[in-house]
Amino acid sequence: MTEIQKNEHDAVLIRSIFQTPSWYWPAVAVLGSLVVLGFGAYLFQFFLGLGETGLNQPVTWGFYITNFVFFIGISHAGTLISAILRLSQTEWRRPITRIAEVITVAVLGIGGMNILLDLGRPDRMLNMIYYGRYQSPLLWDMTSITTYLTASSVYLFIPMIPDIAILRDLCPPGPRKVFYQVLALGWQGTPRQEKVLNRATAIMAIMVIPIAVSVHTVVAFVFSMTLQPMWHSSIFGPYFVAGALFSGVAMLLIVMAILRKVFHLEDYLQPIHFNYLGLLLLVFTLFWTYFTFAEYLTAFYGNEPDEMRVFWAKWDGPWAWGFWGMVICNFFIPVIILSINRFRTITGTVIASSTILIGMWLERFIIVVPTLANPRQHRLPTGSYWPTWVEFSLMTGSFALFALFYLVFSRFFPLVSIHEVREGREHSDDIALERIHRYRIGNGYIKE
Amino acid sequence: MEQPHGEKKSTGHRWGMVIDLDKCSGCGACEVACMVENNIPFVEKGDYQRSRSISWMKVVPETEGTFPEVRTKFMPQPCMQCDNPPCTKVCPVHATYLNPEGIVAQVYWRCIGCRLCMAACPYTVKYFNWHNFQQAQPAAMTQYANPDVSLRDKGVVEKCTFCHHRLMKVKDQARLENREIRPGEYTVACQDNCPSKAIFFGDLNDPHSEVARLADNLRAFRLMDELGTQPKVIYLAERKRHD
Amino acid sequence: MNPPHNPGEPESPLVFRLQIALLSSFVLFASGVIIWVGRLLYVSWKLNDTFSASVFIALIAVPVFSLLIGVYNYVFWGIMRGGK
Repeated sequence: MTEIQKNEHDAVLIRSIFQTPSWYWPAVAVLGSLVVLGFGAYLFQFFLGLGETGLNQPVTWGFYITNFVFFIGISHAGTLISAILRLSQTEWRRPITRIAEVITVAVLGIGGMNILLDLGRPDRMLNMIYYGRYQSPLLWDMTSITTYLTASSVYLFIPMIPDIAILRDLCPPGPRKVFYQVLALGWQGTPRQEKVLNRATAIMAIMVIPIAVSVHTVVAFVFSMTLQPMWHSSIFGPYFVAGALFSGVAMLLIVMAILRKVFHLEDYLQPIHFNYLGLLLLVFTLFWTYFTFAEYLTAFYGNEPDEMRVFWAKWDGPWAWGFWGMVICNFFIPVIILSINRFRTITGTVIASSTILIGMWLERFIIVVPTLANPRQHRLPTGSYWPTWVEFSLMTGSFALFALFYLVFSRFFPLVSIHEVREGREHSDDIALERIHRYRIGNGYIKE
Repeated sequence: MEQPHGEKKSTGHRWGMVIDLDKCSGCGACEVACMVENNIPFVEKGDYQRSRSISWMKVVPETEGTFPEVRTKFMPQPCMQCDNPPCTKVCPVHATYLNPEGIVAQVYWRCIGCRLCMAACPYTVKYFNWHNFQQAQPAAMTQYANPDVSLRDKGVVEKCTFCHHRLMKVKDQARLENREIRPGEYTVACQDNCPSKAIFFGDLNDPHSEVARLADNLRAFRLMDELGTQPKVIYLAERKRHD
Repeated sequence: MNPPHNPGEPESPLVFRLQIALLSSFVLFASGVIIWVGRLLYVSWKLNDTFSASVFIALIAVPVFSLLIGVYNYVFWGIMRGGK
């Protein structure tokens, strides 16, 4: 008998892999048709030109770039949060890390895809590789995102090896068993293998943090390297990183709540996890608000005419709905919910996270569009922008693709790291005690 | 000396334009001449309403004062052909670059249509082919297209090139006759067709050229000079009027 | 219901071949990125197009991808050879 079958707790993590839940295929069908709709819309755009979108002369960027920044931002949920929690040896991270890392890998691909949707000549995409020039922030993005995607895929894969080995042992012979055999790399849990695994995970966790920070910094640089009002700002790199962490944790909370329900992970994802992540989210809310305040106050106080035209367009002009929507969704609602202990429940954090996702999307939109609509060339008429069905379909398709990726992943690999959870169950008491002993004052612990 | 973005300052010709706003009547002949010369397509009604029309040279009106004390000024705006262009720096594929004679070039066949140069241009003078505009032209229009200028496909950025094809022709001619380009030999379409002769064009590096002389005029100013883009389109401000 | 796994059971040569294919495709991809960065470096030098920026980015990207190749190989061989 394998350990899994002995332990009823972890059986639930395996069940969804070998038994198809009843809702699975209908869900795949719905999401799949949304993706197909998006693909159809893209074909439409591909053959007729970008004119099928709502983009126009001054507003040359819209939904696609907004989604690009938004999805790349979400990607920070995963690997960065997981790496930070791992390195700081946070005990409650164990059931969360995998869920977070999958978000990163899924969403990075979708973010990158969105910038390809925005290209006027996707057929010449390879020019980026052949004629690329490193003075362009787009090449910085390309390099950085490729690095991050590679590193986070490796970072997702390495800690998953022991879990794959469990699945390999459970799987009946067939192509699927070969699949697991290949990926398990002959894992048997020997001390030497454990050592290799832990060391590689630690190296990756350290490496992934600066890469993740660089990714969103260079995404911000696409905007801040231009001379345009309200874009050309030195705060943009850190501001985008803060916003990325903020929206990332919000997405993580929502995904956790959904998975908890549909895969019956109540034992693993407990209210305490939502509570702690809710606190983290509160910190990020305040961070984001601080950055936003600093950014807008600097523009307002400087009172430079070009900046002010963009500023007023956001404050009480045509984009005020977005700006104030963002402030309400990103600050007022989350702060009220997350700072009151009684509200920081699963439902509470999910509500706060949902508004934050909307708010952060609006934030990206409000950064991209109003600046383009109010260029320095003020003698020209102010630009306007409203997306067509093509952009809406592709946006829905992007989100559906994300959910679909998650569903497919859940059919092949456990969503909660069995190995890490088991390790926590067996050793976390000792680890925690030892750690406390190490820094408790008057404990007689002397470091040799 | 290396420029901040790595492109050499030209030593030979440095083509520039001077526009005397005092002489400009806002008639729009330069726009039309430019469109004919450079095969700039008309756009359909829907695209026009979405403000997607292309006009490399654009006469931009600016109304001052409130009714009844109003006055409208006109400012023709081609690409400013900056010596320090913000658009070429950000191009990921070398599709737009500053050529040695100071013209900001656009390679239509390499452009991937990311539109980062449009977003980076402070003057908003780069245009995008949102649809295959050429296809929508009446047959007669394409039949009489200028054979010296390539037609642009959908999905690429285009811009004023100071009628670069004319420079090529002039250079060819000069090479055949084994001589240098004569001053005033290379002209641009908007300049040729300006009824009030408000547009001057020539070599800014040649101290005897009319543009170099006018560029030193006290009325001379450049648009958004404070950004350090160093445009080579120089305006001559209007003198005060006593109507 | 599932056959218990026998740790001593040798895995088929197919599995090993696929594992090598997996490893080499990753190494190919990562070295492809390194070669790509190198090419951009060469192009920017050739065209005198902000060579400095390319050097700066290459100095970061090349070690990172080399390290990734290293870690991947370490995990691969460390775990495959670390069994009983």
